[in-house]
Amino acid sequence: MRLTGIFCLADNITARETNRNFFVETQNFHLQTTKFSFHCKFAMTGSENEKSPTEQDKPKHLWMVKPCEHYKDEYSDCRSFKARFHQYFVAGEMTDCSGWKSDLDNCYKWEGKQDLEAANNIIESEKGRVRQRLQGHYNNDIWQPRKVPLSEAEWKPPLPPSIEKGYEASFLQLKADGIKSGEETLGDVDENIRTGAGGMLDSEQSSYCCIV
Amino acid sequence: MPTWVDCSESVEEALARLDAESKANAAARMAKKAADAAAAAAPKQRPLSGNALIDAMKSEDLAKCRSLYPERGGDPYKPSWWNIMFGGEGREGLDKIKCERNVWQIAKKSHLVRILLDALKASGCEVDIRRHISCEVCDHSVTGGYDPILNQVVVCQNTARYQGLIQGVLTHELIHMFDYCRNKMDLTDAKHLACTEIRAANLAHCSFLSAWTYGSASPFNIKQRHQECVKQRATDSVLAVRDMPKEEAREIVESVFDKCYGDLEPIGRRIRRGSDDIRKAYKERVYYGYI
Repeated sequence: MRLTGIFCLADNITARETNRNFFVETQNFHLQTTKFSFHCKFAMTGSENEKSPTEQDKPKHLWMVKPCEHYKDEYSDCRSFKARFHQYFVAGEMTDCSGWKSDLDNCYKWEGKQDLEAANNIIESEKGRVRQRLQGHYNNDIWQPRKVPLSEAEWKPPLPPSIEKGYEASFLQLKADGIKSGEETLGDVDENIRTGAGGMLDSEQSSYCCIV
Repeated sequence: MPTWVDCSESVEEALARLDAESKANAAARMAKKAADAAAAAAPKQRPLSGNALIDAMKSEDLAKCRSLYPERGGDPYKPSWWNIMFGGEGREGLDKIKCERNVWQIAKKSHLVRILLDALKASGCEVDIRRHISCEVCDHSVTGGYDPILNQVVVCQNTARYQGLIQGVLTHELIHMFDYCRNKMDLTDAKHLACTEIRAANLAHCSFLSAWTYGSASPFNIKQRHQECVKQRATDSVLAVRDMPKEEAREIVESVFDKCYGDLEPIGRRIRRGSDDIRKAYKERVYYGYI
């Protein structure tokens, strides 16, 4: 059953747009742990579809359509008790979750039947979310945004010699030198958590299953 | 401005309209400021940094900062014999190494801190893990700080000993650094200070439990108390580094609250503890250019 799940994921990657591969791959490990058979079913259905849209028909911003797992996650999370409590705590009222529901339905239509109208609906919905998020950012005119990035002198003003001397033989200096020379790297966060040197962070969710 | 991979016209139109509105607001503010400044002393040409910032800060505020962060002057902290015998002090060297190791672990394994590091890098301000983060002994009332003079995040090795706490400190202070990187933030202006503290409290703190222990909320007082928690935390943060009456600090926080509370960049959402929000925010960051 699990092997079937992994093969289906592999099929799923090839069936999708190549420019969305990065999103699918970063989610790979997460997807493997939750309902991969469900994910597998839709991948196979998609690849059997005879009426695939041509390259010209496909919407320009198809990369904005996320995997259906994402919308299902967000929808069920939006309606959960803890999320409702948090919504009441922050906004004083419950959020309307119907947006996620319609996106989920449209996502099924797009992945199952390659329904272009459904894909466009999701794209419009995602644009609305982007607009809403950035609107708050652009409305903040308490300060002026910089038009030119900070200069080196402004970003790294010279340190007092006593502080610099203290940093010379420090642990972080060792790591910083390693990053510069290429020996060390911060690396991928999920990979670092999975290999788990030094134990898990208590503030991160650490429960997952291993496919192997 | 975040780099946008592929813009569409409808999004551009909306953003252009918002941009025009915010420019109109900014122009009105600038005109008012210029009028005020013309009557008073000469206006500042650019945000202060370095020695100019030290000169512009009031001596009481500088003294307050130096008492909270004694090692900022460059001299290492020397504990008294009493504190060594009975206060658990005397191992500052070891504490520093442990703190730096924790910082390294957090930078490698925390999604939240990585969002901020990536956002800073994408904004042209790549964080050098040695130059921009410093582990020091601080006053027991603080767990971290942001030094705008040297542009460093200070992590208090004696009060922030656990990775969870250090993650919170790094997130909070890197938000200040992000605001400095992306905006002409002048921390001698109390409104700028209040705004950045509101954003940090909004994004990095104030879960329900945290608000409850802070006194801003209770099981009988839940509705919209997140805002009250953010206001209280921001006011306390402003008072920690500015010598002013509490009412004045609260008034300044209230005056900038609405605009700063809605600005959620670069994380993009108010994280709910125990949920998958951090991972979702981490995956969404690429859509906003924070790679």
